[in-house]
Amino acid sequence: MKYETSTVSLRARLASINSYVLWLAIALVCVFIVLTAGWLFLSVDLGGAYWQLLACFGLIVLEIAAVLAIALRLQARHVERLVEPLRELTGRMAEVSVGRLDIRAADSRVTEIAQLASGFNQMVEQIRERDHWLSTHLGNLEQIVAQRTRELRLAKEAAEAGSLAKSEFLATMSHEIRTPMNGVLGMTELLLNTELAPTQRQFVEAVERSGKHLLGIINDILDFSKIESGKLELDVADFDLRQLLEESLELFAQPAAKKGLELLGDLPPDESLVVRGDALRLRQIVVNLLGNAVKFTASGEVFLGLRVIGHSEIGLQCQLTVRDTGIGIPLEAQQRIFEHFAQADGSTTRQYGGTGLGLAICQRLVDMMGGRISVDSRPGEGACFTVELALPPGKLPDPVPVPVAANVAGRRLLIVDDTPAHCDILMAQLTGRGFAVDLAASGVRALSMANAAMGDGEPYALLIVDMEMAELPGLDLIRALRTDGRLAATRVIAFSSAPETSQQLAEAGLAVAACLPKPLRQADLLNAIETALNRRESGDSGKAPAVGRKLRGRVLLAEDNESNLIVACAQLERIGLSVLTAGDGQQALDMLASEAVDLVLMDCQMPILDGFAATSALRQSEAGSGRHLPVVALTANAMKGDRERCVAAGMDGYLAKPYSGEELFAVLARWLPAERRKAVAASGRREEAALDPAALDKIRALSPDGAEALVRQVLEAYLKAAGREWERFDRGLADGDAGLLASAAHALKSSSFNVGANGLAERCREIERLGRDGQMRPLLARVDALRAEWARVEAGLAAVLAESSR
Amino acid sequence: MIKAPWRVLAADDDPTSGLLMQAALGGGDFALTVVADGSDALAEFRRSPFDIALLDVEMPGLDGFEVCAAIRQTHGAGFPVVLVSGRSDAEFLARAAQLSASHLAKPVNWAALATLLRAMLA
Repeated sequence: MKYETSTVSLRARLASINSYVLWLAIALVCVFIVLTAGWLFLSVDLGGAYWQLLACFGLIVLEIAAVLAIALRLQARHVERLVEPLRELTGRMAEVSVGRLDIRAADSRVTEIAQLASGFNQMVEQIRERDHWLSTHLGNLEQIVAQRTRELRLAKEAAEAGSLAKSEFLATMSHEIRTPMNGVLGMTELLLNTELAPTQRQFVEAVERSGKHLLGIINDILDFSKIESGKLELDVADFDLRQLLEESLELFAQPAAKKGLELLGDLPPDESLVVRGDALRLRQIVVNLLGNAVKFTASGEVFLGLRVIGHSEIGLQCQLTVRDTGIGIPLEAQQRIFEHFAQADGSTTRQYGGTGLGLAICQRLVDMMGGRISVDSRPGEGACFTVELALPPGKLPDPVPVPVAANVAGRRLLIVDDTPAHCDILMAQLTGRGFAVDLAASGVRALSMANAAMGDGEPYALLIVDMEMAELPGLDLIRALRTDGRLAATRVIAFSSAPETSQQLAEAGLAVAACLPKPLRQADLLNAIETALNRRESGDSGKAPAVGRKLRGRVLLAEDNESNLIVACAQLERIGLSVLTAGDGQQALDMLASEAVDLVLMDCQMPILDGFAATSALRQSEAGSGRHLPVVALTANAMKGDRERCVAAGMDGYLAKPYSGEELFAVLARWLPAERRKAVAASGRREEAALDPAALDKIRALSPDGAEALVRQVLEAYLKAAGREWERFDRGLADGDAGLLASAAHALKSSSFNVGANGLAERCREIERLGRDGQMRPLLARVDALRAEWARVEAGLAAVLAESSR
Repeated sequence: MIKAPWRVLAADDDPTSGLLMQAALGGGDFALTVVADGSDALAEFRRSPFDIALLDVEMPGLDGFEVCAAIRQTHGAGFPVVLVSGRSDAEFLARAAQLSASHLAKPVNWAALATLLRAMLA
């Protein structure tokens, strides 16, 4: 079409050109005619030539068009041949990109394309290989990871098992160590209560000291491992901090006195210090610090101070200070000493002993209580440990009265003491209560001051005298006072670290208002001052001594360790209790079924049936009966969870081995009534128990006229019959004849009731039952008790017969 | 009118019981015969008449139950028999009831025994 239009327009243009040329020729001819005189008219017809020209032109155009068409076609085919493989390749690539790696590009005749295709194929192949490698490697990796995980799990399990084994080991060790320790300490305690030659006593005391020391170390190690494993939990109870601190100080009175150290306590005089916390652990901290102070101080003083910094919403902010004048701690060691197993100087371990655990435990405990412990020390000048604690206020059931001395304010007191620090403390305490206090740093000075005061007409109402002074000791001072005509009547309170001081004073014939032990307890001192000033009779202000206190009742002791059994038996008997023993839980249950018992002391670990199981069984048998026999657990495992297990088993109390006679008494006193009768009455009590006098009275009542004769008759008949029954009983024992034993016991039982031998009758009843049931083992276990009871009955009857024959 | 004393047979192998029985029932209105075992009790019972029998259960020879059973055979269920025993279990009580015997618990309250017997015999 294009060519056609161009062709049309060309023809038109050529036509117009022809007409131009014609008209030009005409014009030229005209001009020629005009210009020339003559003109020659020449006419040539060019139309044919033009047509020919036009035809040629058209032909050329046609040919060009044809050639162009052919060239385009050819080119198109050529391009097609090159593009097709590329397109195919693109398609393949798309497929590869979605992950089909088995695709290969087709070969091509075009070299470049062929190269491209083979390159593509190589690349795909590589991808394939890499994928393969990756997947296999992934598999490997998974395997490796699984293996590692397994290894780690095994390692973890091993570690956990190890840790558990360690705990178990500690628990076991604790038990294993404490059980013999109980034997050692208990036996030692008993031995010390017997009559010993002085050297023997010395040896035994050394054993006791070493034993207690060893126990302390064991406790430290166990405590520390408990803290480290996070198993230690703090108790929360209300207690009197003042009492705790004073008691802690008292513990060190003797050791300090032995080393010639002054032991000073400075507690806020008039504040209630009842707080809430773990008294046991706090005491442990204080005792530890005091122990260290006493241990590392050769001369000078050990000071325990408490300052109340403030009352905040969380309670009492207080600062506890333990200061000594000992060897001190070098600066570089001051932080290290709180680390475990570390002492300030490696060599101190040898010189002073100890595990180096004490301060580490202290620090952990203080941390647990939310407090801070710090040390300030200069080597050679002593150390000062400060514990800062916030303790919430507590409340005691019977509030501890803040020591107050009434009606004595304004009286003049003279403190005679050559320890300035102690003077200051006493001064602060006493002036705080309204006394007018003067200080005398020596006995000589005191004498002159007392004389001067007398001369001024304002004599001292009371002298408070330290017995241990370098210059003119207290004893000499008091003697001097008593021999001085004017001062002879001066009242004196003496205080001393030597327990025999009051005896010395008495022997020297020197009367004092009171003789107090060091360290002075505020309450004691104020009481003594008040008593002295009011001229009241000094009551027995000291605590009632534990020795001589008795309980009443019958205790079953289940314990498999023989030496512990002996110790406990002796301790119980000393307390005044009658004791039955069983070697294991089953035996204990057997005995409980037959014997009337007021309390059971149950060792937790025993063969056959342990204490937990035995107690559970006992509680089951009691279920619904309304009875509840108190059971106190004896356990050597002072580990966490013991107490819970005991409670779960239905036990009522808990006594950790090793225990002292005191501790045993304290626990038992919760359930057993105190023996109020005097010791003489107590010895008669057994006879009363063996024979019920009411039974004899009833016999007398049957025959008012011949009462004694009837009693005699009955008792003689009883003795005769009993002798016969005992013969049968012994025969039964020899033959192992349970029936005969039961029969003899039955006969003895009936007649025993008649004469009031109720205890014996009960034992017979039990043996009769066991004999009938054929239970020889428990029966035999009771024969000794039966014989013992019979001996008591015989003795009792003999006494009655002797009396009635008079 | 003076009533004839009640004739009591007491069988107990425990000599103290025998003595105390005599002391307890010694006042006027009881005529007591004490024997020490079951066979003697039965022999005595057959020999002379009694108003009441107090039998210890556990005795050598015949025991209280056996003596009681023999008495029931000869004297019928109406004759008062008292079994004296420390036992009070169900089996014992059932057996006593079966023999229509009363039960006196040991240890015996001797002072109250006479009153008790009077109440039973009246």
